[in-house]
Amino acid sequence: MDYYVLSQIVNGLIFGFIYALIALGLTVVFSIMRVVNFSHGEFYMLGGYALYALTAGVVTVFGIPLSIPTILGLPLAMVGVAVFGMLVERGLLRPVYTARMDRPEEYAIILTFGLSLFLQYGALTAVGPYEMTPGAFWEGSKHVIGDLYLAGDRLFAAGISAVLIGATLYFIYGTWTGRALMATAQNRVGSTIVGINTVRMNITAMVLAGLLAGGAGALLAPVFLVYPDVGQIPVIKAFVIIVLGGMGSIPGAVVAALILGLVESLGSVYVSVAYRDVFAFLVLIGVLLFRPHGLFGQQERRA
Amino acid sequence: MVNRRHKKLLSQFALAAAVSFSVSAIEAGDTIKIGGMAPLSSPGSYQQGPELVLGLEWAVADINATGGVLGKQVELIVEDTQGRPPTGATVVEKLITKDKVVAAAGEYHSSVCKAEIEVFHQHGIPFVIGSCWSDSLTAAGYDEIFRTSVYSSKLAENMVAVMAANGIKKAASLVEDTDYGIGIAKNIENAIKKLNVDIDFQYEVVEKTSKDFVPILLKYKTQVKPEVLIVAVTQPGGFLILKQAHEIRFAPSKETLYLDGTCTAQNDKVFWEAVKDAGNYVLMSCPYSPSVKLTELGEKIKQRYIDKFDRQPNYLPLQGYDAMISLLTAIKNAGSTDSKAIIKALQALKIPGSRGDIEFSQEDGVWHHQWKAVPTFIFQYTEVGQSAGDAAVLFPKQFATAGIARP
Repeated sequence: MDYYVLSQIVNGLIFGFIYALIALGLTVVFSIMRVVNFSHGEFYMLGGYALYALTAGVVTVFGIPLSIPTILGLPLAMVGVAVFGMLVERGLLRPVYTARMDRPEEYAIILTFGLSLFLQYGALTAVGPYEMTPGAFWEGSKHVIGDLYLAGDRLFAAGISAVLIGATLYFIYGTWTGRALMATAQNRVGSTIVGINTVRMNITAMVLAGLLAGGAGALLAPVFLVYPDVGQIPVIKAFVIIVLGGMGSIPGAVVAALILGLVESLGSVYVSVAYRDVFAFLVLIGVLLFRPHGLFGQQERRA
Repeated sequence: MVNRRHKKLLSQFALAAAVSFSVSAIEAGDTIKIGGMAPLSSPGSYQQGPELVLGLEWAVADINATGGVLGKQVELIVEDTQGRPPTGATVVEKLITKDKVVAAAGEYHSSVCKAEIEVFHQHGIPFVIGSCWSDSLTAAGYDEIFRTSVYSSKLAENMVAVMAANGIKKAASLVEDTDYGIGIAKNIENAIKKLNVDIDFQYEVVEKTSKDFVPILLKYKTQVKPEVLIVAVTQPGGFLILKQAHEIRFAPSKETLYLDGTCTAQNDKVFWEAVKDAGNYVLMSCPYSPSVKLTELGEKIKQRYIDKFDRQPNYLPLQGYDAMISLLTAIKNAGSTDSKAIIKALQALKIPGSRGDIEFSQEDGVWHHQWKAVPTFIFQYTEVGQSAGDAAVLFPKQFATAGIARP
């Protein structure tokens, strides 16, 4: 295998980790709350804007321009979006699972879709249409392999994505709260009977989704810029990933994201770059033909 | 109780009727209605749309300040076409049939313009294209369609001329998957043949909404090895390509120049904020150069823009202004809002615009109703953070201030 092919594979895998981080928050919310969060792309967008606001010196607090180091801005942006996620859960999504309405699933779809438009147009009005770039996490471009150089920021984003994915998997599978989340995902009524506070689990899921989406948005802001509809394409890819991996399957989302990154990278150069965004759907159709529940999905039993 | 409710309903009905009567009185002829179209929201280039609309609005304001047209004030009805051809067609249908506009100007995306000109043609309503560059729009040969903006084949010929003059033998391009993008690539191919120059040219069509262009850029860098990379992808895609070409150490570099065919780099503050040091040595193909003196009208518009936004204007407000001022002057000259009379007046028009004297060619093909002498420039940033006004002018020769600089 020559260096050129290897470079494309490495770039595809790096992008796969980034996709995985974007998709993870979406799959957590779906698996726990059974809510398809159409505003997930805007959570991502808020993460980017939060990092920019904290680090670029354009926002003043008591007359002092806010210009904290980018590396410190990252956790703050994540926490900011997580708090926003909590508010969305408390203020908008709670009726979905407290049986206060006839058609909670439809309500959730319309609500998150509306929230997506509201946030997108809100950003357009509040900060304007132009692209912004926060300061770098890791300045300059770095040699990766062969002729492949990549921005330090892209490598940093992929590395932190891997860490955040690992931490999320540990949290879900290695802690009591994580296991309670999984139990809630499997059987909400049963979980309540055994003493799990499912409302708290929903809050946890939205906070986790906010942390991950905000983290992805902030990490990728220096690489892919920040603008009002920056989250649109990533969230479409995230939807493909969670269906491909199996709805609600967290390991499935990670594997699907890596596959998608690879297919897009290799397909762009060996088929045509014109169809880069189509590859995702071709892979999805191909997999669903043979595995209708996705790579790691399981058929759900409904009473 | 019932009576009171009926009374309330009646009074509400009376109020609504009074309001609708007064509105229809205004519609009946107190103003001359002109349509304006531009992308103002996603997925259109909502960064560019408002700049174009600004030019349309300023032209209307200036005309209204001098008493309007045919003794009436001009009312501009701006619609957001979202960069979607079906939306463009729907919006134009609405402007014509519901708002009763007598003519229209504007639009940015060629693919949207393509849908819109069909509706204008069907209704026989004149439309002056604000900033759609595809040759096919004027080449359609419709009587109702005029264009004050630049067109793709002219830009392509300029780019090829600059490449030939600088001994460039191999060029590669990334163009967006739109009429505009593919049109630019085809026109470069045609210009190479027409000018009979020895340039090996190849292009790839990319989805303008993509985020990661590294795979194709890596292919170009390692396998194609062009001397110039021409990018015809509107922002933010165009900005991402530049950032990523710089990131993988491909272009702009000593070996490979980078030419922005969309002129999005001209909005200097936005450009440098987005791409930072990746933008140094970028060449731009633009319908306006801030360092070249405009007409008296153009200089006034430029100063007005600087006073308002504290930055140099890009070409869009000027193109918007030229489209609208041409249309309104034609209505004035026609002495009527009749479509055929306006079209006739546009065909005979000769007025000073912001970038030169505007008149529409009567020739066939791409020059049909096209402002043929529309100016175009190629210039280059040579310092990080440089103002567009300080960039070196490379083309045309009479305005050139420098040769191509390399890192």
